Amino acid sequence: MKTLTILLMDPPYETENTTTALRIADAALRKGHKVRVFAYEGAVSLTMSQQKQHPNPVKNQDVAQADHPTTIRAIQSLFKKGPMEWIACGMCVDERGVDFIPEAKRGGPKDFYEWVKDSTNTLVIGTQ
Amino acid sequence: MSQKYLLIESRDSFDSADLPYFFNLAKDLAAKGSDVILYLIQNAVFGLRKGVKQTFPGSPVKILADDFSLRERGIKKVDIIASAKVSNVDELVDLLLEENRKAVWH
Amino acid sequence: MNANSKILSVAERAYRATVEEQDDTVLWFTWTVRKAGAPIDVLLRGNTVNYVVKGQEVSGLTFGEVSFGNPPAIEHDLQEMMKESIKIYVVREDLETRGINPSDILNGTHLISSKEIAGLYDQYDQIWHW
Repeated sequence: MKTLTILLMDPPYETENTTTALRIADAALRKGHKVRVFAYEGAVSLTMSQQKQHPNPVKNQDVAQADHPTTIRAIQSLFKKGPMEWIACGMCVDERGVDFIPEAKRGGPKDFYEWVKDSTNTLVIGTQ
Repeated sequence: MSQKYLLIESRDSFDSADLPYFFNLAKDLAAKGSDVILYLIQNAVFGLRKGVKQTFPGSPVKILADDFSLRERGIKKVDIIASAKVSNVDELVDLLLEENRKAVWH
Repeated sequence: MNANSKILSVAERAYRATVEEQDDTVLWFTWTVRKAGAPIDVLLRGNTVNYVVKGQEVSGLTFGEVSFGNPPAIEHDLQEMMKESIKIYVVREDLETRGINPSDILNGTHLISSKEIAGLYDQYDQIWHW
């Protein structure tokens, strides 16, 4: 089993980077690897516990029909799929007043570097 | 010693003036003898349609195009330039986890 | 990757987080990782080359009754980072295209040409391209 560490900066729904990062994490776990994600800046909102599904009035869909794939639903499912660790940058969390799901932990750059040293590879996905 | 790179391009020339930097980097790394793979994902695949005025790095740089990004934009395999090979996230993960392959996101 | 592996932190998006971090978040992260023992250097390209220009000044930022008494001081941050043996590379062409005279920039930085970037990347084990 190899280990891939990913650093993400973007908030959940603003850029396609979220889609790509989740795809990479999903595929790596499916292939039996370990995935570690460090959420920096706006990415700490990916694991906000109070994300809720909502209806889509323009398509006349209720909550169940819309079946909105919030990022915590996806991430919690990934935690069940294979060995995954998730750190939300503590200072970024404080600044934004967000919380995070129990699967995620609070940490900082030093934790990220510890992961980096102990990973097969690291992918930093910056923000635009 | 020859080095290995995975350059992941997520931007497109319609929205960003910074592609020449990354494509020249790919060429320069390859010219130094490195094994360079340029993986195009997200809007970067917009440059792949035949007829688009965009110059990609030539051989020996290997160009891979993300299948989901192509499909999401309605771009079919027959629509893209011959020098690009359709790839997928499984291959991307394999490359990311290849020993000593440096991954660079742009 | 191990404790001796060298990292190059490439920053290109400038003046993005004046309110959030009172810093540049990429430089701050890089500096913090250096303090944790990482052999890490910085390449400034794109608009971040302006970070080495002398005379950047961010005082007086006030929203309503809230004043930012501890604004970014990126020039100073870079000087402190260099004191901690972080090399600061700057792409010469990116300075030139922005009309920045090399005589107006901080001492101690390393100017490199675009053509030298590939060689620089070869010297590092990981490239964190923010």
